[in-house]
Amino acid sequence: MLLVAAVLVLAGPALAQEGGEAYRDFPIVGSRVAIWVIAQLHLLFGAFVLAVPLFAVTIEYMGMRTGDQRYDDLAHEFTRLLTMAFSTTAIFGAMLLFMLLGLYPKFMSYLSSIFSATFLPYVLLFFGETFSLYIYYYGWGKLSPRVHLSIGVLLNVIGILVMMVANAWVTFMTSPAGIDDSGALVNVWDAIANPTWMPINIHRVIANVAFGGSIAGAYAAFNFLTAKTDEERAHYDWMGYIGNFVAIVALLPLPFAGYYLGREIYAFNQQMGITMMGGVFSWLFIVQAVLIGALFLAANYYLWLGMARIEGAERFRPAIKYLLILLTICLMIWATPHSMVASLEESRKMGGAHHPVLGFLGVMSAKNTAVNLMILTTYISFLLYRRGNRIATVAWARSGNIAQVAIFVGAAAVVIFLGVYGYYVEASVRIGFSVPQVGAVLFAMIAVTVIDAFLFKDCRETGGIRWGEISPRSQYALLLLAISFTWLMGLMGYVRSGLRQHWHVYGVVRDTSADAFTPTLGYATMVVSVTVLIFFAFLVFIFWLSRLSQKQAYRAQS
Amino acid sequence: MNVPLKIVLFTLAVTGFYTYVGAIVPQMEAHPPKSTEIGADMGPVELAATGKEIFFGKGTCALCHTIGGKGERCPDLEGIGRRAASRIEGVSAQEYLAQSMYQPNEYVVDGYQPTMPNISRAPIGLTDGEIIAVVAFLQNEGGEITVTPATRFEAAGEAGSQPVARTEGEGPLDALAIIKKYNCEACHDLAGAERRLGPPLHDIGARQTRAQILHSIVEPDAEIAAGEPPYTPGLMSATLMSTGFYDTLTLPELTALVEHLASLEGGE
Repeated sequence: MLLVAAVLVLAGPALAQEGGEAYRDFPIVGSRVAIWVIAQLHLLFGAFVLAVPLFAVTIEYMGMRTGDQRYDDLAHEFTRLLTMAFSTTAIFGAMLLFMLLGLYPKFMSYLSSIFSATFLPYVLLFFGETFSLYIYYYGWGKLSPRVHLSIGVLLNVIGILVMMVANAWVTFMTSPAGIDDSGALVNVWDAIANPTWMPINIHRVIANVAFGGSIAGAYAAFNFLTAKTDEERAHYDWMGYIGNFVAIVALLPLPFAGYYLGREIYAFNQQMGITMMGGVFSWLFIVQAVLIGALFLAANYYLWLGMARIEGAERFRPAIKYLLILLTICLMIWATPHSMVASLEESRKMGGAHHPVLGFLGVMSAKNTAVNLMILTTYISFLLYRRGNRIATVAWARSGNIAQVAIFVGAAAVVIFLGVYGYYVEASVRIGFSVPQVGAVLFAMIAVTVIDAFLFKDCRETGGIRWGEISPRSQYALLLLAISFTWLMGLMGYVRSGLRQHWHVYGVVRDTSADAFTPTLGYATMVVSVTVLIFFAFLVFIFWLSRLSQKQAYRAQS
Repeated sequence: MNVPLKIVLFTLAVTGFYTYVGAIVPQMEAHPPKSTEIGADMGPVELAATGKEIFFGKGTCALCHTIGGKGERCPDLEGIGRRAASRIEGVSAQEYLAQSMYQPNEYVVDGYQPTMPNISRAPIGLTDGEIIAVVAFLQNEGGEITVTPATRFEAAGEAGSQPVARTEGEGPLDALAIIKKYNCEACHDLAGAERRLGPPLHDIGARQTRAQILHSIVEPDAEIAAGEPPYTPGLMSATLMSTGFYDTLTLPELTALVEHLASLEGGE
């Protein structure tokens, strides 16, 4: 497989230059949809194989520090999923390359002329990733723990580098740099480090962790729901909790990374930024709001249900309804469109496309406020969960709690004040408010976490956590998280590519094929849904294989 | 119902719900813009009507500009036909409008950022004829249409669809020529203390060493000058890059520029 990939990558430029055709057709669905689906599947599996080592190594390290064997076993179990997913990622990667060379030969020829210098390093990195992965997996329990952990760290470093090389190719298509007016290469490093490269790198690493955590959570949920013993249920309940924890921790800073990416897109080309937020794709962000709202609700719901199995957590139950109300209100604000879909008569009654009342909630000031409050609310849910069976015993416990509440209230006040004040200032000033809003929330999360760490040092426990005794509904919340994350990645893939509109490389290589138009959101969501279902079909197969490898030998069974 | 089947149905239901949400929002299909042929016999009215189509279509001008709105992102263009002749002294309305499309950063309206691209280049890529039509449309906004399909703009000849680059064999420019060529004074006041998009530089020689001045030119984002409201990070580097400053300036020219700035000490 590796050899095939290496030969393809190295031979790609030569293959691509042959023949004079710019495009070739793919039967039935057409070239664009074929590439779209395969690229998205490659990305989804790629995200999974990049994310799992990140938290497998972290969990292994926690096992080393605490001496708790469960962490080590969990990290090993995550890694078992990885080996099979890695092969699947490579297969889809090879398919993508074959299809691009065959269906878009001229475009690939151009891209090769820019990035040929990166191909050999990419292949070498790919080899490095493969070897370190297999040493990491097969060396479990056989290498010294420190050496093993170091291999895991190496695996992560190489994995991220592989992603960064591939990101350079993709982001160059959106924000080309390092070329002259005719599109010829001037400086390959400038082409790599194009304006959206680093924002995408950061956004993808964080998003991959969130996605990987949710998929690991879904694996645990699947196993929990089909478990036959209490012991199995307890194990997969705990695994699901860890998966959800990883997903939430990565989900919280994700909007900030998205904001950074959006800002860089605006800085590169204001028109592209406006097309993204106010043009053809403006309604996509309403769909995105529904998805992210579902993610936040599912993550919080899981934590609330999880508190039922923590002895002592019942004292926090009354707070849940207020958190739910706040989340729901924020979600409704975020999903409020700026302009309404209305009949002519309704539009006349409203006096335009904007609803006289709800229209005020459809603007950036309201949405920024809502998403920041949703992040704060989720963080509070997590904090209550963490405190479920703990009581602080330090002398300054009361003042510590008061300080935490004051920080939350202060952060919320800053977010709300700037949100409201944003209605009274010019757009150029309003846009700048996002930074202090985000800063206040980040500060609150970090400050409260630090206080909490000291507050609950040597705390008193009111009881244990009854792992396995959680409502099955919680497992469907985990599945909802995984499906929503996957679907969201597909949707954002559509907008990232769609931003280029009728350009393969924005402003440089024009798309002259029959597909040189941006399809409707309805069409795109159909393609995304089909891709998501194919992905989960493959994933179930991988889960099944993982379970199969744990079964006793056939002869021993009989 | 067995659990795996429940999970499959749940997955289908969630995916189906999201597909449904995607299907109920307004559906727009964006097609690539088509070039418009400007006939030699087009009269002013027809030319302005064609320009209007290009303004709201291929030109994508309406993404940023309004006509009769607040002009939050870029200037509102209501009545621009009347104002255009008085924007720059000695520049006619039609030349000013053409310059704002071919060389948009030559003159930036107060209170706005130099964010407009040269629309004769990709990705917008209006043809000379299409730009004539847009000029006609804008002149028609409160002014008189003076352009015809045969009009040739000076601005198109100067920068047009060519990058900012020096002619072969041309010697190094002196500091004042560089300042003029890259329009430094659009953002910096070199003669007085006026705050523009960037800080005034009339006394920069008294405040900074040559090394600091050089550093500010080569890496403008390394340290942003203090100001209230704060200056925009990235603006200077983006502007200079878009004009080809870093690609075309020679070392002797850079030295001359630094020397000149170092000589500005705020005196009369």
